[in-house]
Amino acid sequence: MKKFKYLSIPYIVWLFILVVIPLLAMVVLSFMDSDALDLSTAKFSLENWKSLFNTVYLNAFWNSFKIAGISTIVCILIGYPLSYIISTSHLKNKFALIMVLILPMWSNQLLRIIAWEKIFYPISIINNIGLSFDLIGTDFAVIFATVTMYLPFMILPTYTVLEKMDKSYVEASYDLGVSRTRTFFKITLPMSSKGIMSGIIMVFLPASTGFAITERLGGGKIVMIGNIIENFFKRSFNYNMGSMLSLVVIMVIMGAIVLLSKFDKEGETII
Amino acid sequence: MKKLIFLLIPAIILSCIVLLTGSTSNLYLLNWGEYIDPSLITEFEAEYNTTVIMEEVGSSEDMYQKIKSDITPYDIAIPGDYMVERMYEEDMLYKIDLTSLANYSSDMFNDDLTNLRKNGFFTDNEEYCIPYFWGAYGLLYTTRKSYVEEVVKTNNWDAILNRDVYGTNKNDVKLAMYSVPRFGTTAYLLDNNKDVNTNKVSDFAGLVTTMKATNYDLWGDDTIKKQIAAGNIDVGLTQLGDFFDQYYLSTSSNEEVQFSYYIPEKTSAFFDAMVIPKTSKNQDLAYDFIDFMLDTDNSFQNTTYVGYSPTLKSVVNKLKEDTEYTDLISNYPFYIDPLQGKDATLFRYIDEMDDGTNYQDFLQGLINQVKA
Amino acid sequence: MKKNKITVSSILKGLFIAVVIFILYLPIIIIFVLSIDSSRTGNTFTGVTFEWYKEIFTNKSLYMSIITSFAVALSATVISAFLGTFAAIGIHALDKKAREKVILLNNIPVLNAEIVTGISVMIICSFLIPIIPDFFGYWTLLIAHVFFTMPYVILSVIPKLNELDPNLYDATTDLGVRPFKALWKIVIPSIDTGIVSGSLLAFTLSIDDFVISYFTSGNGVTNFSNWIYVRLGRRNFTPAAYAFNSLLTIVILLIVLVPQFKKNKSKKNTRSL
Repeated sequence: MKKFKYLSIPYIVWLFILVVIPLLAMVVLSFMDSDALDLSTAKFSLENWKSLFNTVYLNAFWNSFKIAGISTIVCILIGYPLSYIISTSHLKNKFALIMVLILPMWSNQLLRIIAWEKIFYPISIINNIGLSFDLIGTDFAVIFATVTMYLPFMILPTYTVLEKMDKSYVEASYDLGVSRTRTFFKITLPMSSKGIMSGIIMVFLPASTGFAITERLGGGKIVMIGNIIENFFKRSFNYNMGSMLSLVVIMVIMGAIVLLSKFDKEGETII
Repeated sequence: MKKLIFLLIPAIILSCIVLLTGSTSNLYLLNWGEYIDPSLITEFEAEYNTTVIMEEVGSSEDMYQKIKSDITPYDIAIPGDYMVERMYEEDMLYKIDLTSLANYSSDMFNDDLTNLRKNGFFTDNEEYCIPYFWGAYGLLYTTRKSYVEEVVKTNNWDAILNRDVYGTNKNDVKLAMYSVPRFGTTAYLLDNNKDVNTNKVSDFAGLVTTMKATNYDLWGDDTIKKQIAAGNIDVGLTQLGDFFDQYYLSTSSNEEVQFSYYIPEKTSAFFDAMVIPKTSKNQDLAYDFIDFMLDTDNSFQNTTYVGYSPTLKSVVNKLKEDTEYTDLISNYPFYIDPLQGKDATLFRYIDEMDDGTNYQDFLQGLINQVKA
Repeated sequence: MKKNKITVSSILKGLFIAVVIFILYLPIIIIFVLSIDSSRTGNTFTGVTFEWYKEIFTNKSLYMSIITSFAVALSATVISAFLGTFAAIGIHALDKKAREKVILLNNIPVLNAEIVTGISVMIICSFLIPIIPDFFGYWTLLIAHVFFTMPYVILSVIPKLNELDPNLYDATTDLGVRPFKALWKIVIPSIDTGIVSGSLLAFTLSIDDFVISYFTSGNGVTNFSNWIYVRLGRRNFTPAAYAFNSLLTIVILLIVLVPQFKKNKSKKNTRSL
């Protein structure tokens, strides 16, 4: 199989053009003070990086990681057991069941957000069935909606891993008299950790960098790092600050992944 | 893998549909969402034997970015006043030869608007933009709660900045503020008698404390008018046109209109205008479009569809004579006369604060601090 | 065959699954209700109507945006699946150090905020405008979607390649089969599940995207998500969008569930024989 190395060359070139160059451009921009992309009037400046520790940004980072973090943990607590129950069950239609759980993902996310707005605003269409909640602007609403939006992303990888897992280890453990709980923690969980890792990444990333859910369900009151980056790129066209903050996000997340991958010896984990 | 090749067939068919729906003569129009009557577009296409390709955006900033990126050859764009100024300063617009416009005459626009443009806008602006709709900023408020109307009319901008004016109801009333930084900070400036176009950092001194204390229930753009109509918010800062837009929407959905509008004594006026960006490859068609929109009947049709205030005097007269709108005009006279003699200024384009910081970044920073 | 016992634990498990499904489908149910509500604002329920369903077929900007979304999603999925699989095979064949570096780069679009990916692609593509004036539109949208979905395909396929027995390929070529045929007939079928799950993911991400699509479309081409985003508070947002969404959900549910009922029926029949 080694001779197929060359198959990767086109892709490497593609990545170079679409990933490396923009990344380098962002690094350069973050150290400058320019008028959008007009480099003729640009000058070198450390002001962008210096402003990183401004309370507004730290606050936004904290909000993002808090909400994304809680959402991710909830997704694990609900998604993993769900995948476990389904994969260890004797149901004949397991895959169909999983598809049913994944299906909401193909509904447009903006429409689903509108639906959540209808549920969380006190006066809305659900009053017709006697219900009313006043939760817009609360962390709860944002986290609840984030979990429902991204839960399928946790279910899919964990189910895939659990389903493909070699059950003989588990059976051997039972045969040796080990309790179900202990087997789970010592065998099943470690063997399926890759799936959980993928799920964490698939949920945490969009949750922390997104802006649509907080904008509409947080009543515009909660400022996340995604909102701030969006404002820099789309409102004030300050590509310098936008690039700087985006780089920080990438670095933090990569750092977290490197840390987590210490728990996974096989490496190259995402899905 | 074989199943995927199966998918290739619908993929190719659909792709062909998208790629082949094009035509030779096109007018590229960059507009706001819901800012033109679709049947007018069909009429224009039929009259000039062309296809109108319209892209819609949600803000003047989006418009600026799209034109600047030079991706699509827009022939006409309809940005807001201060964005017109910015585009003019950055040399992004073609000068409009007013003599080529058959329907144009220099006194065809509302006098208040014409005065504002002469005295409070950049020189030569008559040759770079043709007004489309206009209006003022004010307070959209609910009529579901009886105490709201009086407080709003007595306190002007304070009604959206200071909860105490609601007395015992200060914690019951739901207040909303525009999340676009420029509009959000304008209420404060007007309330404190500052120039809405100030770039002095000191003028914004008390803003964060004041607005933080207000503790808004909602920050948004279009959400504000929707939620006031729905009854979840009581008072919000919006454009005049948002009121009528929501009014038409509610009446067409057979919903009771339980909200109204008030324009404070000192306010900001705005107008959106047609411009010809330098991306245009079809200026003749662009002129045709402007002429088409300056025709009284077409403009009248557009006005009654969109809900924003008309800029043409001839359209105002037509509305006054049309019995269908007599009630609307008597209930809401600001429809055809937004300013009603009140003191107003246009937004100008401001690049930097007096300490060198980017204007937009500065305002956004203030709003972020309020929300933190 | 073990008979399924109905125990307390299995009831609780079933309940758990049912509750999760209910919550996940709550927004879908509301969207459905809104699609048959005659009120355009959706603030109250003013009566049942199917006019919004009819509008899907008459509102040109709506159905063009839907067609665009599907055209892009399907095309991008097929292209990413194909190219991604081969790229993955290539990457798998690299030495460890090179492989790790390439995978790191591959992960960047996954880790980046969507707005950054969108702007990056837009800027790179805009360099080609002098050469291809009408470049932006369907093609740039397609390129952008292939760009951000391929990493997921690669990440799904590589673990499967790792699990593959290396001797399998060698044995096949030893028997005289040519390399590409060996790849096509032996390797690819064994990593099938990876390709499928990667493709599923690619399609899901593409069909729903609005941020990246916003920056990489142009010349009037727009996808469903962008159509909605621009009209969110405006009057020309019609509940026809809800109607289409509901229609799609119902169709897919039928596609997924009907075969299951058929399967169960035939199993029952064979058992009773």
